[in-house]
Amino acid sequence: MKDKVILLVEDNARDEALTRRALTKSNIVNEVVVARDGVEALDYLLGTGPHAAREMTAMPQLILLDLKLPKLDGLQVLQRIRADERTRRLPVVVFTSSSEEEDMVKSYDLGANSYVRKPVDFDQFLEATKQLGLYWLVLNEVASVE
Amino acid sequence: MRHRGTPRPENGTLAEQQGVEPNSAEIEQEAVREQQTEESLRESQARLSGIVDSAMDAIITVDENRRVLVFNRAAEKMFLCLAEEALGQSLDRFIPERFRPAHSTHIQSFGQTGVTTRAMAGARSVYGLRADGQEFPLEASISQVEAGGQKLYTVIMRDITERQHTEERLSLLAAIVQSSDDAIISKTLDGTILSWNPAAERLYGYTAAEALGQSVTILIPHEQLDEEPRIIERIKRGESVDHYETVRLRKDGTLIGVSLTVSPLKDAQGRIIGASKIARDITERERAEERFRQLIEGAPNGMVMVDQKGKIVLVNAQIEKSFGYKRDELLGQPIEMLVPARFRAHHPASRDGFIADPAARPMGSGRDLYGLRKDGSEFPVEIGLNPVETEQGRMVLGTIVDITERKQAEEKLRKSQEQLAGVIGSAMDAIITIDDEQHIVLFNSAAERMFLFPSEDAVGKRLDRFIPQRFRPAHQGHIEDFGRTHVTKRAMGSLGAIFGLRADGEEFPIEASISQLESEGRKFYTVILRDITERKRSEEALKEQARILDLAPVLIRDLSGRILFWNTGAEQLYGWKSEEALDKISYQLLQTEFPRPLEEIKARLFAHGHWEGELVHTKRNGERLVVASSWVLHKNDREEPRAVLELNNDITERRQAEREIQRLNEELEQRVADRTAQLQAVNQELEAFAYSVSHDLRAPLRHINGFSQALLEDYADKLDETGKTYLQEVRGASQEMAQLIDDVLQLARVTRTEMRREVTNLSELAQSIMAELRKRDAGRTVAVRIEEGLSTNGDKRLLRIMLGNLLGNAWKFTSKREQAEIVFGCEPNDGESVYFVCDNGAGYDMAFADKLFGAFQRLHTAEEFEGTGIGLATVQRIVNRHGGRVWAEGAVSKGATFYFTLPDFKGE
Repeated sequence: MKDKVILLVEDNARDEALTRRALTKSNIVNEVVVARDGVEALDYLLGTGPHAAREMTAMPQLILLDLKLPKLDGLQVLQRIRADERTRRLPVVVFTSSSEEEDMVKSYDLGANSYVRKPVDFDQFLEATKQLGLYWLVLNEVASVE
Repeated sequence: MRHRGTPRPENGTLAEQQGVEPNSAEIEQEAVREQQTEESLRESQARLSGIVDSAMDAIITVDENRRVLVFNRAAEKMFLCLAEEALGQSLDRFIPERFRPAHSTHIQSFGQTGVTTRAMAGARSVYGLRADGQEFPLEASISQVEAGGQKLYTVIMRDITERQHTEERLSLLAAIVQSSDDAIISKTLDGTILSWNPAAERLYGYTAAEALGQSVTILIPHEQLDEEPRIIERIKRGESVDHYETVRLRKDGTLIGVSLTVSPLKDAQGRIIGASKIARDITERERAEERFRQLIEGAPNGMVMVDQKGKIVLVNAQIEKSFGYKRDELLGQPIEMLVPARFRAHHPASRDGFIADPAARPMGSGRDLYGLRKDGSEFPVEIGLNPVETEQGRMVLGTIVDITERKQAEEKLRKSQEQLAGVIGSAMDAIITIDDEQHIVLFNSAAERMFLFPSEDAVGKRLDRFIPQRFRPAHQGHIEDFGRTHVTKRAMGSLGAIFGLRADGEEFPIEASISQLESEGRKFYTVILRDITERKRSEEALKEQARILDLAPVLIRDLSGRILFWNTGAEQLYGWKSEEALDKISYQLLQTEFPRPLEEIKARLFAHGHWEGELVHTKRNGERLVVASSWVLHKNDREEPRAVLELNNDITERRQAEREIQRLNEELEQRVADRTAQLQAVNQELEAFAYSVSHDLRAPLRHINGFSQALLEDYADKLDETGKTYLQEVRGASQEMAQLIDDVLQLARVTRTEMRREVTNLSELAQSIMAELRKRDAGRTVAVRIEEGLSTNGDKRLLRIMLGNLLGNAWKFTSKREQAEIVFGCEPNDGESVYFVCDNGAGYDMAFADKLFGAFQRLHTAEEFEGTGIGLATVQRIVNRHGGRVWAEGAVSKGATFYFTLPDFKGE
């Protein structure tokens, strides 16, 4: 069975590269779909815009969501995800540089499943990514969309 | 028959002789004759002893030596001694000891007399002694014979114990009869008088000699003569006549009331042979009874006498009147007929109780008693009970007083007392009555309110309690002086204002009057008090008003506005003289500007009687004034509005000042608002800046770090050791930068986050921080002492950051100590709690103490101790935000102590 995708909502290409590297180093082989901004993330998830032709039965197994994003920010994206019947049960891990308590509280209030601050030190970053992958892709059971 | 011995108290003896005893003489003579015939001697001897033995009387024969020779059967019985035992014994054995010495002498002297027989003892009693030691009286005769050359004495004795008893009884009866106060006479059945005692002599006037042998009819008045046969008939039938009251005739012809008791007189065989009659003069008794009746009859109180069974035997006129019964309706009836039905059941028992234990006393013992009239109505009574001993036994005389009127009077009195008590209780004035020792006996409710003291506690207290201390000594004297004046009433305080003292210690002025009265020999003083605090106040206010009146501008105008009065104050304020202003219409003169339509103001004035507001007036010189105007509507006696008193105070300056203040305030408010808006904008910017710092500055650092690592990992073979070291430095620098960013953000956050105060346990916070430090740095040994139970009211999150910094520093700067010590505690100093974190670490040079709390200031190199120099700045901000102070003491290598205070905040 083909592993489900990870949707990485990240505007920064360097972060994307480091995240991919960390995932690879953690032996996580799931396909990573990257959305560069909030709008693109929602298009992908809801099958609109450039993703209108997408096979909608396949939903990401995990969404790694940055907060600071062009167009729609991460919290707005999270709100839409939770508002839509098709996506509201998807695991969303807020994966951000921010350590503002307000961001954390709002994220949880909007239904984030986790809040992980990206460590500056790559060793720690790698460790965090490994843990996330282990938990959300291996241990965690995802509720079906219906 | 023998003579009976007459009583003689002296000793009597057997040998005394008096008269001849014929029987014994015959016997003796026959015996002497028989002796002469030898042949018939034995025969006659036997016959003789048979006679002797069968004799009723005791016969004892003794020789000259008083030895017993003969002792017959009767003697045996009499002396309880058998003949065999008696024979040969001395006669002494049968004589009481006290008579023995005299006895032998008597015998001898009798022997010498030559008289053969005589009775013994003469007037004295002779006594024998039975074998059982009992003495008994006896009657004896003695005889003497000579036989065979010696004298023999024979004594014949009879036991007279029984006879003596009978005689004693008879003589007693005779004495009683003789000495009786009642006339006692006896008569035969045909009426002949047989006996007549001294009382009969006194009662009827006849001596015994005159009466004896006469017919009793001499004592019976002609009209009562038929009584006698009737009495005799009853006597013949063996009946007695008891207490028969009748009238008898005295010797002197006067009539006398007597009460007769007549009993049958019987002979020895029980045949009725006559009658004995006891008569008592009842004239006296009757008179007494009559007086008694009259007394009772005429008594103003109802009197009723009942017998032991509760039957009415006597009532007086007052009873008839009170109860509405005729006398014959009551007599013989149970007393309970006069008792209301509801009390009737218990009455007989109470009555019996009284009969059993009579003592004059009031009935009912405090209960209300009621009488029941014939018509069924009741009335209150008071009853006194007296036992009366009568011929018919004990009776009870009840005195019944109708107390209807008294009850009504009492009720009236009670009501008037109640009314009086009500008046006193509801009086507006405090009323206090004291006795001559100044103890309070009455304290009405107005007094309670005035002195704030409950009446029940006040009564019995000294009046002093309610007088201010400094007046007490004088007060006592005043009261006593007043007591001596005999004036019953006067106003108090002629010697100066007087004051009362409330229970809460407040003094207040009073107006008082005092009165005195004497009751039961004691003086009582009543003080009537009025709290004049209010009046004093209003007096003061009036005086004040009067002073103001001269200064304040006052005008009076009629309802149309025509000025009637214009005082000095008005003259000075407006510039018009009184005579210029009078009769002018005030609104026109003063060009009044009203704050609202005049009609509205007038309506308010008429509705409430006054109006207050601000007006603008123009002075004579054209200057405009703002006045605070106060209008009072004046009414006449019939409550009709007549005029308006207007008091105007110039508040122009005040108004201007107020306006200025208001303007300044508004300006200030605007400035504050502007500043606040600016500040808010800056804050928002700052927040946005902080956010972007947090987010955006970190990202490149992460990239630097991440790609450096990637380089190290992926291109390790293309880098020499120096190159690798450089990349490690790059990574280290990026991490340091990230830490710096975090610290700066925290400092910013500490400043701008809102304080949320709550009770915070600092000891627990410190424990948890130390636990984290130990966990992070498990290799170290640090002795930590944290004082327990330290808590304050503050923002828990901020305090945690603050303590985290201080303890973190202590942890950090002791890292080079082998025996590191960290103490967190608190000591009171000058009323405030001073907390401290103390370590034995690297310490610092006090010369640079001023730099300790500055942001980015470091006293150690990064090589010595890592750090950003922001921690203590954060500590200071947090302590400052809590209103506290922070300072430090230390020395290089001697450790450091950081002190801080957190004023106990009682909520924002």
